[in-house]
Amino acid sequence: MPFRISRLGYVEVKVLDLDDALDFYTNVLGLHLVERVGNKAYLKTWDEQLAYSVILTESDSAGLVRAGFRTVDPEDVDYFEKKLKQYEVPYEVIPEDYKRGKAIRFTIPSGHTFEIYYDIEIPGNFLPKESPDPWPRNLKYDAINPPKIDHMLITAPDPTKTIKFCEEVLEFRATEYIVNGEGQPVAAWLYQARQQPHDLAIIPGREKGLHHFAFHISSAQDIYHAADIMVMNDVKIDWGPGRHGITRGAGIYFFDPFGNRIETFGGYTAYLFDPGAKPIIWTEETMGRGVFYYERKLVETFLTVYT
Amino acid sequence: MQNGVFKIRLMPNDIIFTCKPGETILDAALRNKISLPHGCTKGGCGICKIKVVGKVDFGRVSKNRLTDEEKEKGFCLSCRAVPLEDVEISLIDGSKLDESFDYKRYFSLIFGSKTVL
Repeated sequence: MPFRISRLGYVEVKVLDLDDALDFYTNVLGLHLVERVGNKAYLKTWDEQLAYSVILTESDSAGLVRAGFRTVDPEDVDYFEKKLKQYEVPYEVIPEDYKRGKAIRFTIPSGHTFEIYYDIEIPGNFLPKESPDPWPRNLKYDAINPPKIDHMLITAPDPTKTIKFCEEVLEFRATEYIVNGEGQPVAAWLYQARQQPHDLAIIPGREKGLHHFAFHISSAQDIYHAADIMVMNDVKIDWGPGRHGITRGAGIYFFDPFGNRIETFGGYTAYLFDPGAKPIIWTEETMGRGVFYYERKLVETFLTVYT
Repeated sequence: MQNGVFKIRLMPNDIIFTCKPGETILDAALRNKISLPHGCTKGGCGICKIKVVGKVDFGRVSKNRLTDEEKEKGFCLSCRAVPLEDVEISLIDGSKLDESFDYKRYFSLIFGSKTVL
């Protein structure tokens, strides 16, 4: 079966004040403001080819509004529309959005709003198309400047059901599971065409919960550089710099000024997964080491703190 | 007493500590080595919800984590609440804050749902 979704394309996240949010997301995180439109701001990372990957929306609470997944080919959007019909999942067709064409929008069993789309403007990254250097020279030197959006971790009241939905209907494939005593997956790390450890991960928790969204960081030096910048700007670090057993990625969990958790995720230590290979299994006994490899236990905020 | 410096009394532990002008209840507690529960520290996650008797500035908080009704009923998020007079605080179930404090149990108390793992 071919991959029909390429990757996590964008996340829309609620913030309590758009001015303060933009100060943090552009000056500390180092995202580029594409445009501010009404109560929303569209942002992208320097190596993002597509129009944007983060949407900030001013609201009275923090948390996730929606996540968009981009298909590999245009006809894949129709494929998933048929699939949703087949599984009797209600959906809306959204004809267009900012710099984007048609999307199908639906709610997954955990209450999160997902969109699947193909058409979006592709202005390119911050490098020339012809004979580019490896990185742009005009980035803010004291910002984190992650190159790409990486993945998102959400919480689900019935994680087993949500995992099954994402696998069967959305055709995510699992790299790793945490299984309970009955062998049922209660947490999953799910991937698509990029074959990175995850585009989407699911753990138990409240419905509609956003545990974190993550940006790719390319080296150990960059992870520590990111940590330095967080401390210089008095950013609340939740965990790290550390390493996950699951995915093998190195990372830092930290909070935006409204309590949304973000991760800078070190893909450089993580694997690329062979399609068809069997998922890796963790148990409730070993999951502490799985999530936080060096600490070998869950930090108290992991299952109790999210927006 | 200096303007903005107020006494915070943690019950039923009956510990009294003071906040600096403009300091949140959580920052004052942590500075005094009192481990009040806390998570994001930005008013977004709600795990630092406590009861408060006395006037506070509730600060910028997510409305779905601290509703207007909860504010009237005497709840606040300690990470954002700044005392405006001497206040008395307690965990939301009135239990003593000690080594047996359990984040998962407190999460269930606040959100009415249990963490499964």
